[in-house]
Amino acid sequence: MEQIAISADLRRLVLRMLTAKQSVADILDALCGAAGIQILLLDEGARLLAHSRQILQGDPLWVQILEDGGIPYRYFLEQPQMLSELWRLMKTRRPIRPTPIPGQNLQFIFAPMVLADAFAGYVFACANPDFDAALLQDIAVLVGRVYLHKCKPAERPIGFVDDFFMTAIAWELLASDSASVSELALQYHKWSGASWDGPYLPAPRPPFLIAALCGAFGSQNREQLAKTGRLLRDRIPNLFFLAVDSVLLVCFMEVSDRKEYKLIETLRAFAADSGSLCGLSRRFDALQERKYYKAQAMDALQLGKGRSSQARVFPAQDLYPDLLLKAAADRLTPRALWRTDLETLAEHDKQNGTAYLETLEQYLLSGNNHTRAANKLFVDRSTLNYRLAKIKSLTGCDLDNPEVAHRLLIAIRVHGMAL
Amino acid sequence: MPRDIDFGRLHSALLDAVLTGRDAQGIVDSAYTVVRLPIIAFDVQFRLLAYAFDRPCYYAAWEEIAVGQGTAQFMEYLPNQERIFRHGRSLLFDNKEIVEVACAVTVAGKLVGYVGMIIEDAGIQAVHQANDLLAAVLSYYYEYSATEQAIHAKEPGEAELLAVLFADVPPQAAVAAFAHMCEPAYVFAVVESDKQSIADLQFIRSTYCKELNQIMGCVGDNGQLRMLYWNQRSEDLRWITEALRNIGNAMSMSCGVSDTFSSLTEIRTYRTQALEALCAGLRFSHDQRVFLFTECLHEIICAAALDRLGRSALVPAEITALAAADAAEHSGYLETLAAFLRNHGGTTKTAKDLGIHNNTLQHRLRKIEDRTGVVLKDPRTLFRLQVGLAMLQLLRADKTGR
Repeated sequence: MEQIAISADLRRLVLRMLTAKQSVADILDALCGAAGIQILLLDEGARLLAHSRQILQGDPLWVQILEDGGIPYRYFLEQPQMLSELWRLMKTRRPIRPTPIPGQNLQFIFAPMVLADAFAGYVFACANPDFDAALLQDIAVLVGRVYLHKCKPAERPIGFVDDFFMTAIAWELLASDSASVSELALQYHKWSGASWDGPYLPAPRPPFLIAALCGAFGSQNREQLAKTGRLLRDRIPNLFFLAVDSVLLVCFMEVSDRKEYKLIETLRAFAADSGSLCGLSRRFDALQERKYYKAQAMDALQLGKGRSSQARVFPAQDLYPDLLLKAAADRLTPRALWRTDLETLAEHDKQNGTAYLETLEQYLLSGNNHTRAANKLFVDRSTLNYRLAKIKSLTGCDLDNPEVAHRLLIAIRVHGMAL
Repeated sequence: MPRDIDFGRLHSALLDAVLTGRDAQGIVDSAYTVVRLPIIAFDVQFRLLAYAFDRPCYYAAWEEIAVGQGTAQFMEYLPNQERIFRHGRSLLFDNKEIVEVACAVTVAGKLVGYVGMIIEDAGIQAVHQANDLLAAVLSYYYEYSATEQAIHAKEPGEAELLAVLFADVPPQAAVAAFAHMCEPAYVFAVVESDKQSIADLQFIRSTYCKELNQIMGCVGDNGQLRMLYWNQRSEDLRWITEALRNIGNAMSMSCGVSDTFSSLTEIRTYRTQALEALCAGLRFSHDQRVFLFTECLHEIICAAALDRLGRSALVPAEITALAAADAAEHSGYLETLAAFLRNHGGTTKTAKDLGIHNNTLQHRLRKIEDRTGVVLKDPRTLFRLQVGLAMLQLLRADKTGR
């Protein structure tokens, strides 16, 4: 690691605070306060990791960034030269030279944070124009190293897709629900055509399909999920992915009717190879509704995970209507969806060792067919009839009324899911 | 030249009345000695609190209140009472018989009654001012006086009841107190007024929420009347909904009713049931006013799923395909399927229901299987289709949809 030529005073300050087990935020504050600069630490998707509390000249961009929790992609769209600088930074992994911020009496630099040879994020530092440029660079690099040194492994920014653009789009697409992506899509087109020396930028093109993946055995950290995402992109190129909480969200693009079937086949093979489970949304065109499809994929994954089946891929439509019941149970709590008359039945079962609830479920599932229900339960028809009479007297329900029967069956299914 | 009112004397008369511990009637009497105008004060149910005029009163409505027979005939006044409450100060009413001003009496923001004066020969501005003053004094009296007469405005345990019915986490002590007082099983109901009229809700509350009826209720700041029925059996749900339906139709109100429950510590769960039933019911129903949780399961599921998963997730592909075929060819597949499911898969009865020959039905069912790739014998498929049909129906009625 190359030596950083920073003033001895500042270095002593940082060392003293590190050994005193001060937090990154405190070190940042002390450093920025002493030097009179402001610093942001961002991951490769331009999400905020840490920042100094000092704000120079009430810098409005800065205030906005803190409010948004990072630099939204649209800022870069408005500032193409900033974007080019960032791209250069990622390629060279060297700090860029200090540049004046247009319209403000400030200069800024970017310095990379590199972790295990992968681009993990960058430091965005601002200072007054008369501040020594070399010192600003040194401080920025130092802060980046201190941050990577201090943060817990789980919180470390990781080289996700080795690509700022992909991560930024993926973030807009999968982590935020704002509708800005479709307008971004237009911009991507402009860039990918004209004098742009960056990578080819795929525009999100419909129809879309969202998948949620997680490890089949135990939960995975962000790094493992990112690896899964990269492996998946090797097989199916046209996608964006992002790890949100403990789930890898993937947005597939241009999934036509014909391609959907093939995609699911590929995903099945991939899930088996990589040891993961996968929930799938339905296909959709309108990006502004993507939060619904994210929810479909995540809920399908969660429901599928609870099933002890051989399947690894769970399309939302195959889980109908359980997915709907789950949505209701999540909103009201399963307890609220449980009916008092069925509770009476369950209580009776528990105290007397009877199997009325199961009998009721099988009877209703069989379409009120005595023979089929009796076969399913391995009991005699007369036993079944006796039980049904008891159930009727306990619940007071008219089981032969199709409406009542259907509602009862739904309640039982919701309850069964909650267990 | 209209007569003026001596406010110096009015102030001192009212102050004396309060300080000497006189009751509502005493306060109204002492106001009368100064203003010399007919005065009336009555509660949210139009029961007389105090009056000062010669009986029988020449204004028929006031005489009826003073006689105190029944409250139902006053319901037509409720929109006016609501205007009075919203206005916050004395409001002028000029009907054919008389000109009067009226003002709401409130205790800690809660509507408890009204006070009014007939203007007669006095100046309009002066009567407004005098009535405001009297309303303020009566409000003060009902809030701080501990005498027996004040009690029907400030009911015992009301703060606790409010907490139990409205607080996110009802305090244990209050719940235990109510559990001790009233027997299970309980039912939770929530009532909302279409016009958002507090006067209406307070009227309902004071008319129906009585120990005799085994109902407790409170109107909250959110404009909802929440009620707790006790000592009910599950059969009673029918009567409760019937009664609420009558109220709802008469006064343009909607209600959500929970299932019966036996432990007050779980009141939150059942409050959710009533609130969600009301919310989902209103969203999908055009003509109903009372929504019983146990009968609204479809609506609740549909609302929750719509909000989380979007429209596309609500109907399975099979049903969508059949609906499209029906729209294009008038093939009646959905109708056939619905009848088939309603009859638990019995073809003879289904054919009879639809008024078609058994062979025609068999043919149609085969077509349905061909089109969708489902097997109509599989019970899980049938359940899936049944939910799908119900959801399709609700989606078509969704008022918030595009």
